[in-house]
Amino acid sequence: MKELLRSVVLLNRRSKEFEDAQVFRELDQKNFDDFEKLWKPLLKARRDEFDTWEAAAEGDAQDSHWKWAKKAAEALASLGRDETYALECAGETQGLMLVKTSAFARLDVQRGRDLVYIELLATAPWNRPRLVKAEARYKGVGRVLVAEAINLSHHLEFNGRLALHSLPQSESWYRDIAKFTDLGYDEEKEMVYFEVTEAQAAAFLAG
Amino acid sequence: MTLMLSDKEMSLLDRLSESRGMSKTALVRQALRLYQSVTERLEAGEKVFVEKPSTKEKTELMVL
Repeated sequence: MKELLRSVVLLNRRSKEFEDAQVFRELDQKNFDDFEKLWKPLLKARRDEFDTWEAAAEGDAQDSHWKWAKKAAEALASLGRDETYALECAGETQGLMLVKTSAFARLDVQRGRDLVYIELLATAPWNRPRLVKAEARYKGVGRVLVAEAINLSHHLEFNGRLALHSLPQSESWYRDIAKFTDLGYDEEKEMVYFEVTEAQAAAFLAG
Repeated sequence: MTLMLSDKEMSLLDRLSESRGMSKTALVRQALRLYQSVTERLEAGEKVFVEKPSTKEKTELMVL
């Protein structure tokens, strides 16, 4: 059942004001409806402006094909091994995340240790500057959701350890802004793999 | 429920708990999630392997 985890604030880039937002564990029909009716048309329209999936990185629309309802149903069936999260603000879904809790670290300093793996993370299309080609709406959606994954890692006693594969459109954020460790291109997943140490997780939460 | 473990199982739990830096409760919970993952893969007809990095030799993990 959908559960309110915490209240946070998001900066509205347009009004320059902070607005109250809520982080939920487990998605519900409202989140699926928002994705299908509000997100998907914008994502698809932007994706269609590019010939290839690779080129769609420029328009921040490489995730237009993600099937959130199916992924959420699979997570629910996993009985707590996989978790979904939603960030809502102004009555709309601003971000979605799917994490898995049965994964192991590859980085030498923590190799073999348990970690939380972010399978999917997306912010609403209207929050993406390169997608809307104008002033995007809310800033900080990805940061709030990544912080929630780190919180889960602490809750499971993984001490903040985290990993993810990044879409090309998001690599620079994880590498240059979040300061996660780039372990290079993963041939199997065809994406760059990032890992977060306990110290990096602490620095991320403090930042 | 109360989990009853033999002395050997308790020693193993102690050792794993210390080496993985987790409490016994967290470790048992994680073991359950991992067992679930392996079971799901096998039930889906997949195979689970362990690979030796030096030789790339793969050994199938058998779960009975």
